[in-house]
Order: sequence, then C-alpha cells, then structure tokens
Amino acid sequence: MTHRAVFTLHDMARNAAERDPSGIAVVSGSDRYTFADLLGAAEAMAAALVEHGVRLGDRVAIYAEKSFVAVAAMVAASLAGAAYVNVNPLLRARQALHILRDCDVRLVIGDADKLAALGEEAPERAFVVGDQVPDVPRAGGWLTVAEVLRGEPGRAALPRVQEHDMATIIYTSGSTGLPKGVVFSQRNVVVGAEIVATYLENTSDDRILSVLPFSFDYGMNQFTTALLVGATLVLQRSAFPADVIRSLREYEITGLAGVPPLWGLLVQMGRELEERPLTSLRYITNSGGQVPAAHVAELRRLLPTTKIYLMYGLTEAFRSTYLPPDERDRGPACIGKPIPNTDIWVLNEKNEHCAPGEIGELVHRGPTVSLGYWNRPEDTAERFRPNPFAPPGLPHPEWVVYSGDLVWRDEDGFLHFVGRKDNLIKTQGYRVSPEEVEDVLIGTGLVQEACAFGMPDPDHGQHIVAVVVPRGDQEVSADEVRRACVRQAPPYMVPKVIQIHQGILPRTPSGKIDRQAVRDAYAG
Amino acid sequence: MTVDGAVKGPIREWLMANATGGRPVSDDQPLIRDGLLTSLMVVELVMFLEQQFGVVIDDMDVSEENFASIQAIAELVDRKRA
Repeated sequence: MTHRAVFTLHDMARNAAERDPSGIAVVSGSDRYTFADLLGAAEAMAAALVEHGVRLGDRVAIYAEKSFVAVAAMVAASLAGAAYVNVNPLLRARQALHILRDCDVRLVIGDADKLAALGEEAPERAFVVGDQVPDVPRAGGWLTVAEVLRGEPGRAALPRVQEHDMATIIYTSGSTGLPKGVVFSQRNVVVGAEIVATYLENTSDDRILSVLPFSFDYGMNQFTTALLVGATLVLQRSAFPADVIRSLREYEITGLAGVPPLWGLLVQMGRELEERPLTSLRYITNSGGQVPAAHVAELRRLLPTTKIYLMYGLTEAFRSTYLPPDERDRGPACIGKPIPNTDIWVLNEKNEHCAPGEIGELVHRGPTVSLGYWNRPEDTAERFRPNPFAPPGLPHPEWVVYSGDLVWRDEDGFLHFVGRKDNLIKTQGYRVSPEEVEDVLIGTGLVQEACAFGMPDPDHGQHIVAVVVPRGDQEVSADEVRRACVRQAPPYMVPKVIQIHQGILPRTPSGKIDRQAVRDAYAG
Repeated sequence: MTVDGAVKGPIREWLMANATGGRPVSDDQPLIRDGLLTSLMVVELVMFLEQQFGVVIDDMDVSEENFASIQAIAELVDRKRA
C-alpha cells in the first residue's frame, strides 16, 4: 500500500476518503455521512470561503451546535488555510463576541439564532447553518450553508497549506483576564491525534461518541483521532444521562470521552447499567479534572470489560499525561505518565528537577506544545519558555510550557496532581478565570465590586464562590444577582454561592482587591 | 395531552428560580435548546419533581425529550402519576 503522508487536518480527511470513501465518518441522529460526503462538503465550503475573501492565516469561527456542517467546517477552514475557531455553543453573545473580536475573525459559520443574537456587532460575513438567513439588519452579506454546498467544489483555487500553518485557535481561560486564544499549528493537531490514537489503540472499527464541545481541545480530539484512523464519529448533543446511554447502546459505541460530571451522572444510572451492560464499550477516557475515587470504583464495577483511561492535559500543550487502564489504586490524584513522544518534568523555583515526592511545577516538552496565545506576547512569554535543558550549542530556543499546575512524581515515575499555583478555577471540566466571573457580575449592573474564587467540590472539581458589593445604596439580594448572571453567562460560569459584602472589599497595598483576604473571610 | 396548571405552576417557579434568571418562561419555550436547562441542573430538577409531586422518575426518563419544555416535563409528571 502506498504510504500516505499526514501533515494537515485535511490530509486526514483526504486519506480517509481515499481509503474508504463509503465508510461512515459522521453519524448525527438518523443521518449518516461517509468520508466522501465529508470531504465533498468540506471542499465545497472551502471554495466558498476563498470566494468570500478568506486567505491563508485568516480566522474562521464556527458558532453552532454539533452537526455534520460544524464538522465539515473545520476541514473546510483547514483546506482554505484558515484557522478554525470553535466557539462553545453554550456561550451567550457577550462571551462569543469577545472571541470573535479578539482574533478578528473574517467569517463565521453558525446557527441562525446564535448569529442573530450577536446583534449590532454580528459579523459582516457569515454562512448560516440551515435553509434560511435570519431576518436581522446585519444579515446583508450572509448566505446559507445549503447554498454554499450547492457550489462547485473546484471553482476557487485553494492555497498551499503545510504543517507550520495555523490549524485552529482554542479559547481557554487563564488565571487572569478574559479567555485567551491558544494557537495550534497543523502539526500540533496531527501529532495530537497520532499520540492519542496510539495509546487508545484506535482503529477504523471504532465508533466514538462525541459528547464534549469541539471548542475544548479534548473534545476536538475525538474528531481528529476518528478522522486519522477512519473511525466513525457519532455526534451527541444531549449530555442527559438517559440520552447518552441510549446512544451508547444504539450506535454500539466503542469509545467515550467525558469530563468528571458525566461520570457522576452515569454512576447514578447504576441499576440500568447492571441490568443491561454496555458490552461494546471498549474504553472511556476522562480529562478536565479529577474523578472522585468512589466514581472510578463504581465505573469499574459497572463497566467490567471497559478500559478506563484517566488523562490530564493543559490546552496550551493539548494533552500531557495519562494513567493506563491496568494501573489502578495509585491514589485519586494520580495523573499517570507522559503521553508518547513527550517529556513531562517536575521543576522547582530554580528550574531544577524535583526529587521524587517533592512538589514542583509541571512542565511539558513535546510536539503538541502550541504556538502561544493569539496576540498576547506577554502572557505567552510567561507560560511558554525556552527549554532550560537544551544543549547549549543550539542557537534557537525550543519552547516548553510551564503549566502552573503543581504536581509531584512518585518513586515509580507516576505523577500526582496537587493544585494550582494561581487563581484559575476548574469547574465541571471548564477552566474559568476569576475575572471572567467578575466581568459577568459587574455586567449585571447590580454590583460595583466582585471577587470570585474556586472552592473544592466533590462532584465538580471546584465550584465558584463570589463575594459582591451592591451598587450605590441599592438593596440587592444574592438571588437577584444570581438570576442576572444566569441571563448573561453559560451555566458553568454562574457562581454557586454569592455572598453580599457591605462596604468595600479588602485591598492590597497597591490598591487591588486582596483576593486572599476575601477568600480567607468568606471561604469558611 | 392536557395537563393541569397545578403541575406546570411549580415547574415554572422552579425554572424561574434556578434556570431562567427570573424571566418568565412559556409552556413551549425550548429549555435545552435555549441553554436554560443543562444535564447537571436536571438532577436537581428531578429531585424537586419527585418531592413536589410524589412521583418516581426512572433513570431512563432523564432525556432531553422529556425535559425539552414545561409542557414536556408536565406530561412526564402526569404519566408518572397515572
């Protein structure tokens, strides 16, 4: 068989279509799409992107519920040499607009209602999923994906794209500020798929359920691994436990990736799983936070023939470690060993390797290290630093990622998670910065000052606590503030606990809100 | 199916307190499609329904279809009371 090189996401799509054109690439409800369908739709959409002014290095956002079009759009952007930017469909206009502005997208492919909700600031150019362009003033330059797909695929010349070109930007929160865009090269995406498919032993016989959003690096990974090996990706919009279990059965799913809350929901379905075991399910993977030990034990009992992989990754470097299924009982905080082709170091403040048992910062070296944060040189310089152990004769630095996560390594080389060096909140599998939550709180118009922090939570990793000072002399209840947040933010960003503070919040000597003092006063 | 207001009222109140930020919600408004009700919140809603109406909601009933709108939830409760 001829060797097929894979340098880009669309190489994966072309190879899959050439190997097995009638193989099922995507299942969405009762609809099935072959690899030939996927490549055909992507080529037609890519030509339309070029016709509408998208050039190599431009950004194309995808703001849509999971669908075949949303999948094809990623391949289309790749063919057109643009970086695709998946916007979580849960985000409200306020958060979505931040992303569209931050990376200055050229065109958005999105659901009609979501695009319409962007209002005055909606993009000039958009492809609307569905049959109709919404009746809003901004929609003058929009056309439907249905029209786009009717076009001749070959009508516009596509640019030459190679592995050092940008493939995607993934927005994620840091310890401060609004979400930042992590830029991935084509090589990052391809090698990320190869590494994960290797240790999950994926083949074209796999049917992988896609529950997580594509806007999350780990969620996108189910798509890229499936495409790489020619497996079937089954799109799952509902994360309601009964729906997930029905899909696992109906499509005889072999691989399921989730975040800790999903396992909590599945464990509650224990009796159902005991009565009708999931015999097709070959593996499950977790990332995005620690699974409570009791849930892991229960999953092992309920899924005796399923391999359980506990994974850890930071978006800046895609994936970092995993605990293989045959390793168990190393403690709930064990995140395993480095993924293939990757070094994970534990370094102290002096940039030296820590001894076993000594706590240090997790530092990642390998081919999935991304290109940095879009348009943010200072933040990039803080997280992405030169490899301190590079041979001195090498003239150019090799970038490694300092994660901000504190870990230790045991005598057998397994890594154990301790916590964060900074204020980043990890809740329900999402990364949320305190400022993002505070931005929502201030945006309600009900409070003048706010301070948010994470508190340990057995089910959600952390939950968000917010301390707020009402605006002016207004009488405001925590309930009213909470309700206002619900209107303006996705559910995972809404504080679980809101405390009203009288007077101004404690200050540091430099006049900033003293987060530690607020936390100490209210964490009890 | 017609469902009486005594079922929809408490459901609406729960949703306004926990999901819609106090905004009124009509019987047919798509709760999940509009991002108001998530898989994590539904666990709490199920507990509320079981207590409020003295019904038992089976695990396999916790689907998007059954929780798509106030109408759908009320019909589910009604089936369980029958």
